[in-house]
Amino acid sequence: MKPGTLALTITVAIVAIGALLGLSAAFRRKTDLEEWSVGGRGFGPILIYLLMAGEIYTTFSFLGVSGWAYSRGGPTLYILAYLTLAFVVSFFVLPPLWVLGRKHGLQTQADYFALRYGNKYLGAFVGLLGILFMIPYLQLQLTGLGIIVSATSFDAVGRTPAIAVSVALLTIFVFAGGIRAVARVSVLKDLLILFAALAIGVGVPNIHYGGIGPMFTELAKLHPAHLTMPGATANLGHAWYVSTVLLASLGCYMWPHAFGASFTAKSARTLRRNAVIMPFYGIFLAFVLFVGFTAALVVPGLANGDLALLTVVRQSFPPWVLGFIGGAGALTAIVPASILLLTSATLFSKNFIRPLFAENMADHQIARLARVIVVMLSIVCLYLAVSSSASLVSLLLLGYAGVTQFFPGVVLGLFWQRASAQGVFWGILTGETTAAFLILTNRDPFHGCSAGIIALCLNFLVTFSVSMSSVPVNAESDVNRFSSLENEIPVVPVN
Amino acid sequence: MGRRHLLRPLDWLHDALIFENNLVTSKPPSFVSLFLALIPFTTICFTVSLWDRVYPFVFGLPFNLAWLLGSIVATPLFMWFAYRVESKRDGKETEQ
Repeated sequence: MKPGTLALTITVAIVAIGALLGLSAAFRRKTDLEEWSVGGRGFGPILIYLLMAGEIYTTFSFLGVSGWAYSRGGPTLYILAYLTLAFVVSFFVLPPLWVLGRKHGLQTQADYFALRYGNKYLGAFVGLLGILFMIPYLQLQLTGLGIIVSATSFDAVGRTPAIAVSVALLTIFVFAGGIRAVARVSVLKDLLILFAALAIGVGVPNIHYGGIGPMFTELAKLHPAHLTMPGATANLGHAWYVSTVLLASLGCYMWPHAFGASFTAKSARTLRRNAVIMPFYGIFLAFVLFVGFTAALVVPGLANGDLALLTVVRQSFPPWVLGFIGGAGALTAIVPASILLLTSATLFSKNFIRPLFAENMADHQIARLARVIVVMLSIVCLYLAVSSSASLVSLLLLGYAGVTQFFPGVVLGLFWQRASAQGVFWGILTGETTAAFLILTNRDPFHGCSAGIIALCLNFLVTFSVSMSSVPVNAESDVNRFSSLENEIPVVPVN
Repeated sequence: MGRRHLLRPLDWLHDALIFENNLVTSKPPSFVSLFLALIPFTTICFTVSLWDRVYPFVFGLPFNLAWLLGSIVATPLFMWFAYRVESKRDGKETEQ
């Protein structure tokens, strides 16, 4: 058997096992909207842990961390830093959100905005922005998948057919399985990726330099500047590090899919406990980092840093290991891609179409519509991933800064009663406009500071001052506040 | 659907009305747990210019990487204390 065939067979087998595992769990349950999108709010500590790990540790953490370590060096530390601090932030934000979600049947981020601010247009606005930022993120996962498949097949399979096949698989998976299927696959994915990261993180430096320590000694001797900030970059220094870590850790759970996944938990306590132990999981990223640094010594001069990990693995191990790593990596793309797809479809049908165009739609109709939208979104993303354009890359850059602009609306909404719909709307608009202007005109980092954090400060300021100047909401208007959610909850006239 | 039909509109409206100043706001976290959370933010984020260097090596790792990994491992410790503080506060009210 040719090495490419062997490696690819193993990769495909792992993906197939994952898909069967997920779907077999899902077919045994009835899948209404509540089950499909938030798993009936019944996920215990282990499943929620794996689901959250599943959506946060994506192909970016696998190919991207090693790619950054390879091509940029020191600044890569920001990824380990922000993931840890994101869990610290989630400790305070997710449990109260979950309580509200349980009480009012919230399923999405836009649901929260619509409920808290009593304004379905604000909900639809936040939902649409969320989808806009999630689509390039989804496309990134698909591109990563394409890279993995073509590398494990020793370039025998092109990226386009690889992406096409995986999109088809993804669609069936999300269409039929919903969030529970995704959570099940996360179990396999996490076991594999942990094992893979440890194996190559220890193995690759060992094969070439006889250990992690000697590898770093060698790198420090040859390229000492590569190991600190700004590394191989011109402008990613300490101010950039502090502002980006802050931005990304505040924004991590503002991604609509991460936000929505917290509603799947069985209790607020589960989420809080989860936030305490999650940072341990981040240690595995360090091993991916070791591979990236080794690759900088062993295979210098690659045009695309994202290929560093797979290239160095291919040079160091027999093909079956490459196949195994490829399978783990492919699941690492499929799990978050499924959650992104599912969240986008739910947001679009539930928070955009229903409140604005079809007020009387029942939940089962929403569930059906969401599935149709899954298919449509998959086709759009397939097109985008195959024809990947430069504007999409800038949209992705904007995405990280963009979702963070929801932070004031979420947190002030949770803890400050004066926060108003007008304040949040103008705040988000200011934040997004500032971020878009700075990033799309190549002014990021702005004077060494991440553009998103400047936008976030302005956003906070506007949200606060507009809220203070608008009329305080009193108890009577609470009736209106909740009426926008009447579709979710059996309507009894409130008199 | 389970619990959904139990959430009768009048009940949750009532809950919302008696909940913190008539609005759907939550009880803010305690200062103790916020302070505990500030510790990892300080060690991991704000102090970067103090520890971002290659030498001395610690356990075969460059100093910045060793410091960062050490801080990451220590974070659950602080958050576990915060967890205990918050759980104690919750216990005084209703159990979630």
